Amino acid sequence: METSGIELGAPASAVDEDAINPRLNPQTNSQTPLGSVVRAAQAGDLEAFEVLMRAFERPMLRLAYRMLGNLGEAQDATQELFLRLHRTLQRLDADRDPSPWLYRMMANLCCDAQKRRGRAFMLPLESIDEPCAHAQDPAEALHDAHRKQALIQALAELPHRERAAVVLRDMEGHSAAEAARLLGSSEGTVRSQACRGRLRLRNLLKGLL
Amino acid sequence: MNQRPCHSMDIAAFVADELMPDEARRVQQHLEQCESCRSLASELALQRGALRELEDPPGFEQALQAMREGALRRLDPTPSAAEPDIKPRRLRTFAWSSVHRPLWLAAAAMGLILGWSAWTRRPMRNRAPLATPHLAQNPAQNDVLNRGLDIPQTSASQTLSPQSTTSTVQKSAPTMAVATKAGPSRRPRQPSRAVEDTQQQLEALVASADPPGSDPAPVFIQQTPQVVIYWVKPVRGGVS
Repeated sequence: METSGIELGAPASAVDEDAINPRLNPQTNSQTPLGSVVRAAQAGDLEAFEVLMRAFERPMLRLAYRMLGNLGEAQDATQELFLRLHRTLQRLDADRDPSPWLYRMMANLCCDAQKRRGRAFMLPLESIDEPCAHAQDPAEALHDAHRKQALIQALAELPHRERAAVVLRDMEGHSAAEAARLLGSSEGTVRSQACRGRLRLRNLLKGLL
Repeated sequence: MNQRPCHSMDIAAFVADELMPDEARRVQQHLEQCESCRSLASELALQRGALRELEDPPGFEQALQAMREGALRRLDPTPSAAEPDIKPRRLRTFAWSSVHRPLWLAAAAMGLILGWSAWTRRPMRNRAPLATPHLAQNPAQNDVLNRGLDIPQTSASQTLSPQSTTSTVQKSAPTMAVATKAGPSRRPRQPSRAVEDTQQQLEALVASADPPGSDPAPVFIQQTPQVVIYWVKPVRGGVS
């Protein structure tokens, strides 16, 4: 797996948008509908771009929420991601899967958003009431709510590289090779980052699970 | 693995099924013997399950739709759908930052107060002279008045107005009295005979302006804020 010039830790603003490196992704989509959609979007078809956006919006927003722990900030970061995608559309290789670029840019945008926010963690209010509303046993609901809050908070306190690796491996179920491809890193690096993140998470959640 | 059988990284990789088969077998054998590592492995497995069960938050679909609509609105090139052309915000300088803005506003207010104070306390020779019909009708008194108060003859004659009424005398006479009393910016001089005469004439004028039997006209003393500015001239080399 080749690594790109994009450093995951680098702020998104510092990432050269020329870094859409087709060598990163061995999978091509020249024969897939996605390739034709990308070409139509490059030709200025806004509906085609909307199709492209709908194909990736859900995993991107979910990734941003899990990285940031706040739905509003995740929404802003995802919108910024697609605006940047639109700006760099002409330089995108239509025959390649845009997922690695999207995942890496999303991770960088989340890193920037967290830096702007500082280390203060704002627990989203929606995450507090929701489990209590659906659970039958109040004690169990309270335990679920606390556990969910603790998980979200502990995730947000992880270093962003480890957080990205844990989110992709343990939450979204990507394989180590797939996570490495999406993050533009090596498989061994992603594995060690994920392991360190799991252990750090366990220390943060000690006794809460 | 053999040197450090209790390495927590290996346990974490084992739980995530990231080890090669022979390494996984060794860790498995170690876990059967080590209670603390078994506890760590069970905690990591529990944590992994909890992470997988973490579902999307409420409002996720609405946020998704709002994000999509917002992005498309910003990308739509048609003028009706596009956002209004927002010019880039002017860079806010450090001097006009939110921290310094109250200081500038306070300085501007202080400047206004000082300016107004200086205007109201300006020297008498620049102020509009007394205009009374009595003085206009009596050139001799007018001459005495102007000599005593250093008022140029030309300006006094220019402002003497035949339309002035008795009420004008009632209003302007106290002002003149105060100005004569204060005289802050004029050089000190010994009160001359002419000034004393002038003051007596002014008092007589005020008394004559009042109708007989009424109370004398109230004397209003103009109150101006007393702002004193201490200017300390820096001395090179310090004060000995």
